[in-house]
Amino acid sequence: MSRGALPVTSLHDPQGPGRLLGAVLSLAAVVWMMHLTEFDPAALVDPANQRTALHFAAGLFPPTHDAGFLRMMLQETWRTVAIATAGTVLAMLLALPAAVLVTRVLSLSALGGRATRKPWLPRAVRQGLRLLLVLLRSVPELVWALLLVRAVGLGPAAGVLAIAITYSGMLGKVYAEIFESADSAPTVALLHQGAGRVQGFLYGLLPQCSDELISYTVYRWECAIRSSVVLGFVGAGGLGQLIEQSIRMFAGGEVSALILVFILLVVLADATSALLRRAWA
Amino acid sequence: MRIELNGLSAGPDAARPILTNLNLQIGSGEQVAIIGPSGAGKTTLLHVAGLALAPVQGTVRLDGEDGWTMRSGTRRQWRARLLIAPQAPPLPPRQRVVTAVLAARLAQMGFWRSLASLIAPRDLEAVAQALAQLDVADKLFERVDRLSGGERQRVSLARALLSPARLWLIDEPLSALDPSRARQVIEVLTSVARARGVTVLASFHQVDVALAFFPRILGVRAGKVLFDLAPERVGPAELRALYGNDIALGDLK
Repeated sequence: MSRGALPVTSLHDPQGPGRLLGAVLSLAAVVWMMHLTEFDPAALVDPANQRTALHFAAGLFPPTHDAGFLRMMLQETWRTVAIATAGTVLAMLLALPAAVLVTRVLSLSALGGRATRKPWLPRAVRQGLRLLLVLLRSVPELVWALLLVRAVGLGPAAGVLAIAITYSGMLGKVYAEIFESADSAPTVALLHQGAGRVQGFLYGLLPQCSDELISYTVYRWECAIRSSVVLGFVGAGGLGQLIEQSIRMFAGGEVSALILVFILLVVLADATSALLRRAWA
Repeated sequence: MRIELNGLSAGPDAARPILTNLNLQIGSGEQVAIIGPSGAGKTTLLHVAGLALAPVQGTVRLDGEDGWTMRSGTRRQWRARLLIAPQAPPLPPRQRVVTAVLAARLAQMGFWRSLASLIAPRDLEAVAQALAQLDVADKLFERVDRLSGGERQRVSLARALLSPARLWLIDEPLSALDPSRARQVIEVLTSVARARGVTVLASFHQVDVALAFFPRILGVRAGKVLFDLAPERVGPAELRALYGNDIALGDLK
C-alpha cells in the first residue's frame, strides 16, 4: 500500500472533544457523590480505625460450631431458603402473566397494522400494567416487610409477601424486556395462523427465552435469599433474625459462621442455575 | 378458499404502499405462482391475501367475506383456516422439530391441549407422516438449531402439510434447497394441495419450477400485475418485460 495521500484530509478526531468532556464530567460527578456520602478514602488507612477493624475481625475467628448452634442455624437456613423460594415463586406467578400482557410482539390487535375499533385500549392496558410493575418494585422489600409485619404479624409470612411484591415488579419488567428482545418472526407466524396470545408465547417466544428466564429467575432467587436475611432484621424470621441477635451480643464467631452459610447458599444458587441451564440447553 | 383482491394498495409502510391498485381473483383450489424481481411486492401480496397485513386501500375477500370489516375474533377464525409460510423458516432455534410442526395446529388445539402438548406431544403419527413426505422423518425429535438450512425449510413446509388450512400462501419455499430437492418438495406440496382442494399462492425466484408445476403464472413488477397467464404462454418476451433485459434467458428453457 502506498504511503501517499490518505483517504481523509484531516486526522483530527471529530468526536474527540465531546468524549474528553464526557469523561471529565463523569469523573467530577463521581467525586461529588463521594463527597456527598462522606466517603473519605483516608479514613480507611487511618491507624486508629485499622486497629478497631482488625480487633473486630479477630473476634470473627473461629466460627462457632457447637452442635446446638449448628442445629439452630440449619433450621433458620432452611427457613430462609423457604422464604426466598416461596417469595420468588409467588412473584413469578404475577410477573409472567404481566410480562406476557405487556409484550408488544404478542399483541393480536396490532396484527396486520390496522387500528382496531378501540385503538387506545391495548395501549392503555400495557401502560397500566407497566405502571403497576413500577409501583410494585419502587418500594423496597424492607418497607413492605415493615408494613406487612403490622398487617400479618411477626414471622416468615411477612417476609414472603414482601419479597413477592417487590420481586414481581422486577421480574415482570425484565421478563418483558427479554421477550421484546427475542426474534419476533416465529411468534408472529403463529399469530398469523390464528394462534392465541398465550399459545404464541408458549410455542414461539418461550423456547427462545427459556435460558435467559431461568438464569435471571435463579439470580433473583439468590437475591431473595440475601434479601430475606435483611428482612429477618425487622422480624420476618430466618437467618437475619439470628445474625441480628449475634451482632447485638458481639458474638463474632456466630456472625462468621452465619456469613459462611450465606456464601454457601450463593454458591448453591449458582450451581443450581448452571445445572438448570445445562438441562435445558 | 377463494381470494378476491379489489383496488388494493398495500405495504408495510402505509405512506408508500408497494402494491398499487391491484386486482386479482383466485378460485377455490387453484394453484398460482407469483414471479417477479426482488422488491416487486411478492411477499406483500402474500401477506395481504393472508390477512397478515391490512391494505391501505381496497378490499381483501376470502370466500366472499371482507377480511377487514369483520370482528377481530372472526378474523382470527379465518386466519386459522390459512397458512402463511415465510421465506425464512420461522422456527425457534431451541424448539424440537415435533413441537415446531405441531404448532401448525395451535388454533384448532385449544389452550389446554396446546399446553399439554408441550410436555407430551400429540398426534405424533401425523407429524411423522408430514415430515416423511418431505424426507425429514428422522428429524422428528431433533432440535431445530441442529438442522441444516434445507432441512429447516422442509420442516417449516411440513407445517403446511399438517395444518388444516384451506389456503397456502408460501413465500419462496425453495430458497434453501438444491434444484433436485426443490422439484421434489414442490411436487409434494402441489399434489397434496390438489388432493385436498387447497388453494395455493406461492412466490418463486426459480422461474423454471414455477412454469413446470403451476397452471397459472402471475408476473408482478413494481407493485402491479404485469401478466396473468398460463405457463405455456409465458415466453422470453414476457420474462424480459418482467425482469428487465439483464436476465439470462438461456437458463430458463
